[in-house]
Amino acid sequence: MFSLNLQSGIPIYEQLVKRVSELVISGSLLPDDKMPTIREVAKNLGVNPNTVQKAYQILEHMDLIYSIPGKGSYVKDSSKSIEIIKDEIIDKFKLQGREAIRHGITKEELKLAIDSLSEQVF
Amino acid sequence: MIELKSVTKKFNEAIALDNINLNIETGKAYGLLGSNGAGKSTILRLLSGVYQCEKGDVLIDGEKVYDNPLIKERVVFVNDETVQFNTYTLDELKDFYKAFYPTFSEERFEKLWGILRLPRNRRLSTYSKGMKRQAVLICSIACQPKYLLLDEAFDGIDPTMRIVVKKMLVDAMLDNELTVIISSHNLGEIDEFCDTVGLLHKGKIIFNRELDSVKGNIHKIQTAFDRNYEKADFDDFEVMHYEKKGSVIYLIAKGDTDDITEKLSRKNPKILDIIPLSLEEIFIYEMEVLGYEFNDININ
Repeated sequence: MFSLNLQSGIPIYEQLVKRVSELVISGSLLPDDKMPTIREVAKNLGVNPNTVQKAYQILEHMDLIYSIPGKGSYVKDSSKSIEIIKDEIIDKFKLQGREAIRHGITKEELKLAIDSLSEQVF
Repeated sequence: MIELKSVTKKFNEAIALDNINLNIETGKAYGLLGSNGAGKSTILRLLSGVYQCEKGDVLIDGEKVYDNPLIKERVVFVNDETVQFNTYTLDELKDFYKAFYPTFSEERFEKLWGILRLPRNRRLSTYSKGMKRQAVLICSIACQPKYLLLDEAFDGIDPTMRIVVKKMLVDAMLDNELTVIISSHNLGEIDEFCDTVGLLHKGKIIFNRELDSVKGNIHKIQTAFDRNYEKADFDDFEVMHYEKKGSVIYLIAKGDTDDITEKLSRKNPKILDIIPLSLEEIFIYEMEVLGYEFNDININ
C-alpha cells in the first residue's frame, strides 16, 4: 500500500500526506480512483487510525482527495492544486540550485545531474 | 475522557504517585512510559478501580472510578501478570470476562479467536507466556470496553504478534471509539501507535506530549560558514543546543524545517544539513531542558 518509515523522526501523518500527493501528482493515482479506507491503511501500517484520519483530512484540505460519507475517499481531479504543489517543489529545488551555484557548480554540471535524476526515477 | 486531578497514591510511606494531573481524551491511544517502579501500573490500577488514591480525583467520563460498577464496566485492565488464570481454559476465561461485562460480544470473540486459533480446552497453565497474553487480550477486546488499559502489553510479544494486536486495536478504536492506554518501558514499542506519550519518573509526569507536535519539529543541524559566527548569531530561531567544532557548527533547533533552512541560507552556508531527530533523541533533549539526565530514567 503506502510504504513509510515508521522509525523516522518525521510524523507519520506527514509522511502519508507526502506519499499520497506524490502518487496523485505523478498520475499513479487517477481522478476518482478509490483510496484505501482509514481502517485498511491503519491496519496495514500498524498505526493509530487517528493518524491516518488526520492525513486524509489534510489531503482533503489540499484538494487532492474527496470523501463521500459512508462510501470512502476518492482521488480528486485536482489539476489546480497539483500546479500549486508543483510550484512549491520547484521553489525548493531552486533553493538547492542556488546553493549549488554558490558552490561554483556550473550550469552544465547541474543539467547533467538533472538528467541522471530522471533516468533513476523513471 | 480520563482525568487525574492532583492524584497522590502512597503505599505505606512510599509515594507511588505524587500529585499527578493528566487528561486523556476519548478515542486516543496514550503511551505511558517509565522505568520499573515509576508508577505506570499504579495509574492503570487507579483507573480500573483496583486502588483508591489518598488525595485527588480519578475520573472517567466525569465520574469517580473507585467503587463505581457502572463506570468500571467501561474499563478493561489487562494486567502484565496472567498467573491468576492458570487453571482456566480459554472458554472458561471467556465466561469469566462475560460475567463482568454486559457489553461482551460472542461474535467479536469468535472473530478474534479465528485470527489466533488458540486451543480452547487446554488450561492456560499449558500455554506459553505469549499465548496467555493473547488469550487475555482477545477476551478483553471482546468485552468491547470504552477504555482499554494495557500494562506492558507489547513487551515480550513477538513482532508478528504485535502487528496482529495493533490490527485488533485499530478495529476496536474505529468500531467502539475505544480509548487505549499502553504502558511500556520501551519507547520504540509504542512509538508508532500512540498519539500522545507521557513519561513518568519517580511518581511524577515529567513529559506529556502529542507525538506529532514533537516529531519533525526538532532538528539536528550541521553547518559551516566562511565567516566566524557565534551562538548569538542564531537567535532568529529556537536553538536548544549549540556546539562548535573547528569551523563546523552543530545545532539542535526547534521549528519548521523550511523556515530554519531559509534563515540559515541567508548566511550563505558552505555546508547545511538538516536531519529530523528520532523520537528517542527528542526525549533526551527535551529532558535535558527540564534538568533530567536521560540515562537516569532508563526507558530504552
